[in-house]
Amino acid sequence: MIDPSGPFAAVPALALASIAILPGVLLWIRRWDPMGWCIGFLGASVATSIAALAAVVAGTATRPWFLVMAIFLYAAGLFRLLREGPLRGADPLGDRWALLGWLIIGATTLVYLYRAPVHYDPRSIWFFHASWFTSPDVAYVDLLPLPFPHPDYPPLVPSFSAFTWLFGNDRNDWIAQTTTGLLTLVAIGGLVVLLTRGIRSPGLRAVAGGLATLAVLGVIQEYGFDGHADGITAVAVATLCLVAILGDDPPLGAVAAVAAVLAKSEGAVFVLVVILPLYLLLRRSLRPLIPALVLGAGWVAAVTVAGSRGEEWHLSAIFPWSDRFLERLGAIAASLTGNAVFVAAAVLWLGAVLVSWGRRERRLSQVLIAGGAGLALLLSIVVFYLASSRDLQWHLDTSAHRLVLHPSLVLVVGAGLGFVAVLRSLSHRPETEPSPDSKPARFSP
Amino acid sequence: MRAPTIVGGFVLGILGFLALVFLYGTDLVDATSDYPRAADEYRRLQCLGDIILEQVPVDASLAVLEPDLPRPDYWKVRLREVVSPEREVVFVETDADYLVEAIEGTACDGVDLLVSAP
Repeated sequence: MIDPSGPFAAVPALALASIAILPGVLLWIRRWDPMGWCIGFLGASVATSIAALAAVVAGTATRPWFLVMAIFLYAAGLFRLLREGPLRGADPLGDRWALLGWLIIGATTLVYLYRAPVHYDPRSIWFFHASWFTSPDVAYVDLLPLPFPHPDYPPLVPSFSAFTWLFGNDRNDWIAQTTTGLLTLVAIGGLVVLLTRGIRSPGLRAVAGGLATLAVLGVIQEYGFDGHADGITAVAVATLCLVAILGDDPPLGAVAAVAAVLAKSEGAVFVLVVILPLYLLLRRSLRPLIPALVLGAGWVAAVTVAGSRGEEWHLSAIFPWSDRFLERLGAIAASLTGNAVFVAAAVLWLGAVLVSWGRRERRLSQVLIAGGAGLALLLSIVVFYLASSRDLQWHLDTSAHRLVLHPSLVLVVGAGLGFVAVLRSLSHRPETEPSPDSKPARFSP
Repeated sequence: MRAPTIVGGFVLGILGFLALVFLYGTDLVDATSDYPRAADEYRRLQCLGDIILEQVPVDASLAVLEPDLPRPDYWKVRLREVVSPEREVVFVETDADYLVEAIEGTACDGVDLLVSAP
């Protein structure tokens, strides 16, 4: 039954689901600070999708695997706690001012959560998949040969919703919508904390965090909070870019990589064709990407073996000498670059380039690299539409505004790097003075 | 050269940021003003969904939400809706007898359900 009681129906179910799995994840990752909570919450969603993958491989119902995953997390966490002592991090809430600034801005998204969950894609794809994950006696693998509801789509969002439903009232679209929104909001928190944590002054950090959150929400809009998986995917991809550019916080990079790969197929493609080359180019360790690559390959292999039909592609259309290339390129380019969010993000990024250039900031190279990553994402989306076998105009009308979130958000993150550098130099008196809470720039152009 | 570049950069940055905030604000206002329509839509979906969910769980979200989308044969359920100024009328076409019986035995507030064979 569908419960009509609104987003508040999600509160008890979310609380119970969090108790069931989040402490286990936190014990395991052993971080007791704001970033730890972000990684833990994302990690909890990743854990449920690993359970979903295990169920597909085993060909059984998913419910028992949720239980196995929760028990494993608690056992692994307690084992590490006994072996290595108390958790690191003195303050689980961290900087109150920054937290308050972020919460005030984030609370505006409650409007989205209060809107009835009526969108077609979330209900017919993501919530629908979740209803199969919660079934006590039906295996998700049985859904895979069906043509429509895209059962081959990755499981992160529906498996997390399904796990929460187990503590509610079976299928409940309000809970699923709220769960997805909360996941996106927490991921935005991780991204913003990482972006602004070099600013020494708590007041400036709170202001910068609030402004950055607003800019990110300007890109994501409702797509992170109405049950779509695009918001969480875009935030995960942007976080990965930021982790790669800063060379900082591999645990966040690892969990963001898995989230990107297991949230949407586009996320997996972006990790392969943009993030992986970015890591190689910047000579970062590839270790944080390995779990994502293994799990992503595992999901694709499992659904393919189980009989998923997948998509048809016209790969020849991606070459300039193809007739389809010339026919389609103009419409694709106009649709993507004419998008208001993309234009605004590009203007913001260009401003950061000019400011960083004029101030001779060391971070100019980082802003430019983020711009390059955004451009690479945009080009990969162009290739995706060139090779699509669907009617182009229909495909653009129904998905371009969501796909363009990814390059737009990376541009916003690049702009954030530039403007945060300015705020850092305002809050650090002498440039040469060592900062106890900021790491030295590891990237040299 | 440096000062105009910095000023220009800040101007562009502020413009881009304000544009994003404007887009976010507009989207939030749309979501707020859309709420009554969405709530009505949800009540209708809930009513129809509840009827069909009890009979054909697999079909619930598909059949109710996308009336014009061709259904896979094995679901054998198709809904076509006509919204009149006075009253919403939903036509259900199905060759599943048990579903016809289930729908005929139920009524949604403000919605007429007419069932026929395809």
